Amino acid sequence: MLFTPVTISGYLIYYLVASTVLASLLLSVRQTFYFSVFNFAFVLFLIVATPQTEGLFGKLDELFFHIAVPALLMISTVIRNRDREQINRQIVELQRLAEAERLARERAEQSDRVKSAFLASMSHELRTPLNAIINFSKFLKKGLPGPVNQEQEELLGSISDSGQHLLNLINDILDMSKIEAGSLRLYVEPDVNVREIIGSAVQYVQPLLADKPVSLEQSVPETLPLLTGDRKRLLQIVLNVLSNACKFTETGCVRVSVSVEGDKVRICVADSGPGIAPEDRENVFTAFKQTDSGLRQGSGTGLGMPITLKLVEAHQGTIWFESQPGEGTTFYIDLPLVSALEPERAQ
Amino acid sequence: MIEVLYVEDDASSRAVLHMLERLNPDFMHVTTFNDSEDFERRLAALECQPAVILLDIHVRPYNGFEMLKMVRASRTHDCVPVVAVTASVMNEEVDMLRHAGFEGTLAKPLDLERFPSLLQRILNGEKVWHVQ
Repeated sequence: MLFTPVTISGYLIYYLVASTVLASLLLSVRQTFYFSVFNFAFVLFLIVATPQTEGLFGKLDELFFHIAVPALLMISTVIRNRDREQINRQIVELQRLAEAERLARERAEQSDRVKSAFLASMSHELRTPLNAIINFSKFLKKGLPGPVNQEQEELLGSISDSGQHLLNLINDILDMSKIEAGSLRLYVEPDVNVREIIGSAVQYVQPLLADKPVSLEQSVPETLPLLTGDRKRLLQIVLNVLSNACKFTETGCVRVSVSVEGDKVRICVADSGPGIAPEDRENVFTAFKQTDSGLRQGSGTGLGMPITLKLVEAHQGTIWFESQPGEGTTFYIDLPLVSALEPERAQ
Repeated sequence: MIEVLYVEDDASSRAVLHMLERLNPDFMHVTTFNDSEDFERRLAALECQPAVILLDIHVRPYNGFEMLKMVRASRTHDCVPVVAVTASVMNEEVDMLRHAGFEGTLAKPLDLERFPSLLQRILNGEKVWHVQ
């Protein structure tokens, strides 16, 4: 008769415990859970649905131990194997992805090498003729091979300036590509004199102010702590900022000052130029984004300030500016007095 | 008067150095080789022995590195400073020059105004890496 309560057979309890233990050994947690739910429901069904007849129930118990348990074991093994196959498929898929990634990386490295080789060769091929263009025009301008009239002198000056501009462009592009490739290298020296650097930079930019009513002032303490850094790159930093100030300032003054602020040396370049418009501010340090006034000004590569920023960062310093349109701009460069940079060993 | 030997296959570059000589007539005297053929013998046979040797790198048949080795191996010139004058001034290339034992590098284009002082610094025993 159906729906009659029956005594739970001792075998069934053993079966439940044993099968659950077995399942937990063979299956994953989730599968064990499903299996147990199904198993429990199955046992419950047997208990509820089996007629009270002792004989039939006894036969059912036998049935379990001779057929159902091995069958369940097989099913659990099959599920487990299926699971393994899935894992294997995932492993194969992962290997395929890793291989594809390796190929893509190799291709990227290859194109990186091609790019470096191209840049190296471009630099070489352009520098050799520039050696002649810049230096021959300067030589002629000096009048050594023979006298030149004023017009010729101006034209010759224009040739050497253009050559120099082209050279700056090549250098900037090389710098930028080194920075992008993460291969910018500093030749760090432990005894860089900031005063000397400012002195050289001022000397370099003097010609930019030759025809303008702009005074160039400097206020640098006689003695300053020596910095650890790349002399040439530090000069490049100061020169970039200072030459911008000189280029943009049409009247008034450009002032360089140096001070020690706590554990930093602060280089300040203040000008009385047109200032940087609010909408241009975010582009000052962005590659190839010259400000409108920069474009009008006509010289420069649009790479100077981005390179300067990277060079300052490579020295663990900071650079920022304050600007009032119509009144001028002040750039600040902070360089750490104690640097974590390792000086190059003497070679 | 500084005796300078310059090995360079590019005629314009040689002309630039002769121009520098004309600009600084009391400062230096320049001898040039167009190639590195028979370099050791020609070096030894020079009437005016150089105080400094400037080498282009991409020269035939012996390149700058090979010529540097010859200079270092020679008994008479092993102490003469040897400077690379090259248009190849990428990081790796300058590294190679440093490790090869050059006393310095002057990048092309040469800096007309600063050349004499750079040369003087090299002669004073300083290593000069003027690569931009």
